[in-house]
Amino acid sequence: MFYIGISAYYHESSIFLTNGININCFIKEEYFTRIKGDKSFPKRSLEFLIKKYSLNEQNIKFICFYEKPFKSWWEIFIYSIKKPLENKKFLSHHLKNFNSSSIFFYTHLNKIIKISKEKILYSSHHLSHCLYGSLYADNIDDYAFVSCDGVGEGETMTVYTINYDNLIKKHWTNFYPNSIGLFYSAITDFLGFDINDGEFKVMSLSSYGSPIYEKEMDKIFDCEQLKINTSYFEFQKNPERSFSDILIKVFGKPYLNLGIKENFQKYSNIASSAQLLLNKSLKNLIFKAKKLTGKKKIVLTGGVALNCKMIHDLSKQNIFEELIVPPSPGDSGSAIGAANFSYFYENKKFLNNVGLFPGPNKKDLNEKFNLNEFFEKISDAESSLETATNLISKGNIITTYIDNTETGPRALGNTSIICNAKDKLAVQNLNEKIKKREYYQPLAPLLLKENFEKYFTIQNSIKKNLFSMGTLCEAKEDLKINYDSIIHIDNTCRTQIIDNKNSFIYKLLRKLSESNIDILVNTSFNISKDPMVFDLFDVYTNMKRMNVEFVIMDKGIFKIKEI
Amino acid sequence: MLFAAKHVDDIKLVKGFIRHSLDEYKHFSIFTNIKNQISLDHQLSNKEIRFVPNHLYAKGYIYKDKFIFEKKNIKDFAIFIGANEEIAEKKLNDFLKNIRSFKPNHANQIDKILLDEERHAKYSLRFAKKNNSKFGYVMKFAKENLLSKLRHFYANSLNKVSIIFNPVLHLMILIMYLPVKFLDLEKSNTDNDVFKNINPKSIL
Repeated sequence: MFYIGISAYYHESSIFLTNGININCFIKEEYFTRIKGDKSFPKRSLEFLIKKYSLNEQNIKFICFYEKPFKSWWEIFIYSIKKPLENKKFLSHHLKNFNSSSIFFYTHLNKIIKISKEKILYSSHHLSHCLYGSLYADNIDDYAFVSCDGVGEGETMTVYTINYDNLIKKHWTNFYPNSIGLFYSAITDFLGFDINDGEFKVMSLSSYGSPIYEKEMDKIFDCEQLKINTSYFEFQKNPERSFSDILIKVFGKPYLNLGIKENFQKYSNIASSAQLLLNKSLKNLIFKAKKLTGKKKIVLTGGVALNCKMIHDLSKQNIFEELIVPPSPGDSGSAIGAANFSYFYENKKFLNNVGLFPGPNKKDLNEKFNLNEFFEKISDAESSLETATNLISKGNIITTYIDNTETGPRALGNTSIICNAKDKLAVQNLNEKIKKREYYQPLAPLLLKENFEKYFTIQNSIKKNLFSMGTLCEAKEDLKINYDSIIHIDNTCRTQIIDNKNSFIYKLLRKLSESNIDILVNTSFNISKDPMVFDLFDVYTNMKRMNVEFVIMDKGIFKIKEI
Repeated sequence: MLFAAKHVDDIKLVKGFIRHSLDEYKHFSIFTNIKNQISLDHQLSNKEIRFVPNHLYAKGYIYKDKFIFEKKNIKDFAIFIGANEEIAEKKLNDFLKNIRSFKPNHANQIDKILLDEERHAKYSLRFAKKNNSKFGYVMKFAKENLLSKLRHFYANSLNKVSIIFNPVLHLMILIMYLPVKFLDLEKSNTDNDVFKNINPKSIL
């Protein structure tokens, strides 16, 4: 029997299917529609699963939505309607979107698969985050599960524990609009980046500035009480702008062009001050969680947990014994939490860890693709390591399209673009010309676990997150000598380590070390603003657009052909 | 186009659709570069000049929950593409007339797009003519042209519609204000047994 979790309507839609034994499949709707962050009902993902697993009413045990749809819609509405005239713009927008909201989840689902209402479950937003995070904790009883995001069902931060008898206890919740996630998104908006997409740019930018606006920020969000001063914001009033004129009075004109030096410095300082406020708020949230639960280990989920600079900064303050961020801590990963909810509802036990690659295997996605028409094989699987090593040593940028797909927003080697991190020209080319990223966004290094300490330092408390690029770490002198192009301005790197001896990337890194290359640059296989490639059609078009020639697949290494 | 490439069997068509999609990506990149240049020239941020393709979905210019290729069979799809590529060509020509004298570099870039659009229209309509009767082709072509004009009219009128519609919504909000104030859902910031207290069948 299958258990299916669905997350949709607010952020990137996704589905997770499991039988609780040996089948796991996680897919995002954006893979099919090619619309980055597609939040619509995951129709195509569900159709894919129906076909692949012959799903029907009989073999589906439960389908669980990741939150309470009406509560989610209502809590925002009821807050804004208390000031109907002031918030009329937002309320109109909210009402207009009623029929495309998650309240119609069952109707949308039934258009794709006929299933009785008895098989539909609704988890709770932050509970789904917590149940996803619980899969990555070794002994759940040792951890406090802290969730922090924009808003879900009117809640913005929660603290849970799960004991050995599987008793789940909610210790504390913070309510909308007191959201550090919405604060950070409003700053993202102010600085001219897109909300839900540009937050990581604000994080990168913050390293170039100084927190000179710390006092001003403290008035905007009280990091002790975890309370927001809504007069600086308009997210509750205006669907088109998150910040108010009062914020403009404090920081000046929004949306300045970052290409101009003075603007860049000013915005870096604002970003740095916002980052500091985020760090202070999360520090207090973790203190609160520790005090309420008595736990010293934390699992952090919710979109805010994607801020890997914050994770690194918190670790230096020694406020926890361990902090784990699962690979997809945002709403998308909550589909897995929702499936876990339904599994627990039936079996009174939780699912096992789903690992880093619960996505479908690439071979299942390309039955129709005529490989020989588009690619020329330059080496078979047996000699792939040798060929890849040669290509990388000679300065080539190559793509990987192997094995199973990643869950989170970060490519972990199976769907990546890689090059020699020593090769400055290749790294610059990859960042600016191929990926079309901003120059202030650093690329991530990838290396064997056993080589990590030669080049980097990190607190033990956050080390586990290195497997999924969930944190930053600091560069040692050895790294600066040969690999300075991957070091961010604040001497940090978003490093990924690998220890799975069976994986191709592990073997490749071993082989490359014979040529004195210990570190690869690893970035996701997509162009900025596009989703990661999913099938071989996407692989071909992306390689053409990027002007990249070689791709490593399970069957060997291929060179792109002209068509 | 990429979606269409994934759903046809004839390898010539697959390659044709992929080539077309690569051209469209190229056009997007040309427009983005022009936009970035304008932003820099006028010291504007990217947020002040932006393409928002999602607006097109909202305005019904293309189907909200389906790709065009899912809605039409391949013969009609070819006519749709041909007719709309011709319209795009005409619109780009008008645009060019306005900018050629003061933005010659941008105009040269758009010239490249025009050549592609011309080629796309030619190939699509050739395929459509080959696979439709003469009468069917003429009728369908006229229909696509008319629909395209209606879609533009609809999109351009949305702001005007909202002038009438928004006050109605605002009035509704005011009427709802009083009763809704008393309908706060129960809120608790602690729960000693979450699974016992949650109703998994409820959307509330």
